Amino acid sequence: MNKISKVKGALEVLLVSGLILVIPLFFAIKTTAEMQEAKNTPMPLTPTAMATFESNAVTTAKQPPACTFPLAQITAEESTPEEYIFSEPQIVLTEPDNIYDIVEWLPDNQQVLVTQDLNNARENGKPTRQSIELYNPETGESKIYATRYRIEDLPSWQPELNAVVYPAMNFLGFEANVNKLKFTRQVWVSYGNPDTAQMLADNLRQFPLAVKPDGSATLYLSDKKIFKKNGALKDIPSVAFDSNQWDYAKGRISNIPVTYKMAWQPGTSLIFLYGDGVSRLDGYTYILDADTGQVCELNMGGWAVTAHWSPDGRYLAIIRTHDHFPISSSDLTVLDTLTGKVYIVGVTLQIERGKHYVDAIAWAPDNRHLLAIGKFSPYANQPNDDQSRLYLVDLISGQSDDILPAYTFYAGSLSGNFAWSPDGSKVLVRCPTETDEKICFITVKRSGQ
Amino acid sequence: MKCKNILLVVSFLALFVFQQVQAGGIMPSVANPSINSAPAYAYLDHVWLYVVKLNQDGSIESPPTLCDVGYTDLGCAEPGYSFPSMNNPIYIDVENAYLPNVLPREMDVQNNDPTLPALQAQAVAARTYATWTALNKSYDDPFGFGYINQINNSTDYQVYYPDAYDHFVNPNDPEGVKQMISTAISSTFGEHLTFGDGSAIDAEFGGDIAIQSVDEPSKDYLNTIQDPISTICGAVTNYSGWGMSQKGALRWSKGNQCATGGDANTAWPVTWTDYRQILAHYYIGIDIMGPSGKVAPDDRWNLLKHNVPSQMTGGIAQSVEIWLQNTSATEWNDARLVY
Repeated sequence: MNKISKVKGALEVLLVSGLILVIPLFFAIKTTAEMQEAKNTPMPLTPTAMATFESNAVTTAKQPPACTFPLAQITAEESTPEEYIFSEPQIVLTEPDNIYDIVEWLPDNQQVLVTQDLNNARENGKPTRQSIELYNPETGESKIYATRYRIEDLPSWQPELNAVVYPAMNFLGFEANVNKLKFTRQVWVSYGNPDTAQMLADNLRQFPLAVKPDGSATLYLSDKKIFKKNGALKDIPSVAFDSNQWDYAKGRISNIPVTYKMAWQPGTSLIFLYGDGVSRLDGYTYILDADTGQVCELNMGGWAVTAHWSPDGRYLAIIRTHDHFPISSSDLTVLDTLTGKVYIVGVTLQIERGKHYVDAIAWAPDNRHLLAIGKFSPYANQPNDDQSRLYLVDLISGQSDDILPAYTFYAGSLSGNFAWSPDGSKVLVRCPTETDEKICFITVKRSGQ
Repeated sequence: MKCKNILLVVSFLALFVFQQVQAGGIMPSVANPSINSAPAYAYLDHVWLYVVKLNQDGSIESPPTLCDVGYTDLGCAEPGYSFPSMNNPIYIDVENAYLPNVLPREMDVQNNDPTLPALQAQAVAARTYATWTALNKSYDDPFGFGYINQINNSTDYQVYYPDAYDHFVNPNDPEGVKQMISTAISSTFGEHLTFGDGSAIDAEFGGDIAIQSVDEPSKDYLNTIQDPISTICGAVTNYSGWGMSQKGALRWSKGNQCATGGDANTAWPVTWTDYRQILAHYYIGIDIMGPSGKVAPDDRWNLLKHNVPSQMTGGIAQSVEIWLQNTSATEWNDARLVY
């Protein structure tokens, strides 16, 4: 056999071998394709982007351990349930241009911390400004403590210093090509004179801050640390805390860091840390120990729109939803932090067909009742069909009473719609019309008084 | 009224159904497909859009506040961004600026892996609804500026978020889904739903329905239809229940009773790969009008369900059950199925 014949023979062997391998492969591919076609389903999209996302975000974040109960050693005595009688609402303020947020009553039960959007004082090319005021609904007096560019994050009263601590936007301009604001996030304190307000911190990772209910500490977050100040607003040692470490949600795709709102449990070092799951996909419900930086996860069966601790610190009440924007329902969910028991209250009459919402909540001084604005929106409604009422909810029995059925209040799904005074004697609530902002004042008689 | 001969041969039907299942995407017809004289082509390619601050349920804040430069509120901008326009209201191009920012939020492409037919159906429904609401829902004017053809970005109309196309994207395939949205709009350019006199219909739609849609007695095209694919996997009526179910559209286009994909997977024996099947299913007797006339025949039907065996020997005929929906523009009196 000559050389050419040998090469030819080798090629023939290769050809035959190749055919033996390729033909079954061809039929395997064809069969797969036919099966795919028979199922009549689209071919899956190549998840290249997901792989990139996972390597950037998911692998570096992890889910915190589940919280155990009791959450903290608190001395919560059994409260005596009270009865409350509410007066007719009285309009105490009408404002055609500007919108208010009602933040909280001060411990004196006389003044209310509010914010007012100054839409009538806009500067071209700049965000709207907002004033932070103390308002006395019985005298009509108000005192401006500070002004800032308008943000949704609320100020807090610092009772040890009789001062307002507030987050502020340091506006630097616009990145017009991407529609982004250029700014830094700051924290300020005002003792009553806007001109002498003092900056406490700059270049923070988020606006929300937390003030301990007794005023003995103020806390805000940077990327890697919890910054704390004592009751005199002096620095106390910071604690390591990597907020991105707990940003584990698989669906989240934004490269914008998660923003945590905070609510401080009275009498403890624990903070309810919650991410907004409505406009984003990171609806976390965590407990953060401000002393150690440790985090655990609460299973609330959804995510929190807003959160309030009962005055004695035993119960954590949240407005809970399961949806992303636009939400189709929300309820009142209360966690007993001693036992881990969860109470769920629908507030509005659930048998009616439509969308049911809870839009604002506030605790009664007896740690058992809550005021809530419940909204019922019938399906296929006209705008005026929405019913937003003020309800008194008994946490233990689950009973919910429409206490002022002749009146409609504002249900905006965000904080700042109403507040109940610490002694339970007064309620301030937004009651706007379609054209004007209005604030209503309600007096309350307690059975214990 | 049409009059046609009945010729229902079960074996032929079974064969046809099998062919449908295999091939998919064919708009079936009844007898000789016919197209009645086309009504006038009329939809609004521009509308006045008010962009206002929204509550978390998608309703308008009260008193209403127009989004302005720097606003980062719900409805004004996607998270991390600010309201982009110096003008408000915006005289907006429906095809190129409005629909691209409606579809991502309305179909919730972050949480539902979308399909092209479902997005195409949504594009046609949203285009139609924009015209209908702009012309018929003026009672909702929150500002009284007196513009004609005006809508807003709330759930009173359709959810519109500035720059949603760029920033409200699907985590599994951001660029692929954006391209799919673009294709859904461009491939249905100008197409809208009409009924009777050729006016754009009140193309109601919403998140999900269970079992069947809800009758809107004043509008024949919004009568109740059965939606047998929407019975499990979290199916729930969470809006008025009129018209197209967005999750239902996803279910039909995926051939799966679970709309969102992921781990949930309950295969359905029928898949619709043509958006016109979805629209003709949820809106009764409508015409789909494009710039060049009707884009769907008057005579048509949808296969909803069948029990054709997954394996059949060649040449063997077998009795099967099928569940058809008459999606024609008219009722059948004397139908003859042709394939």
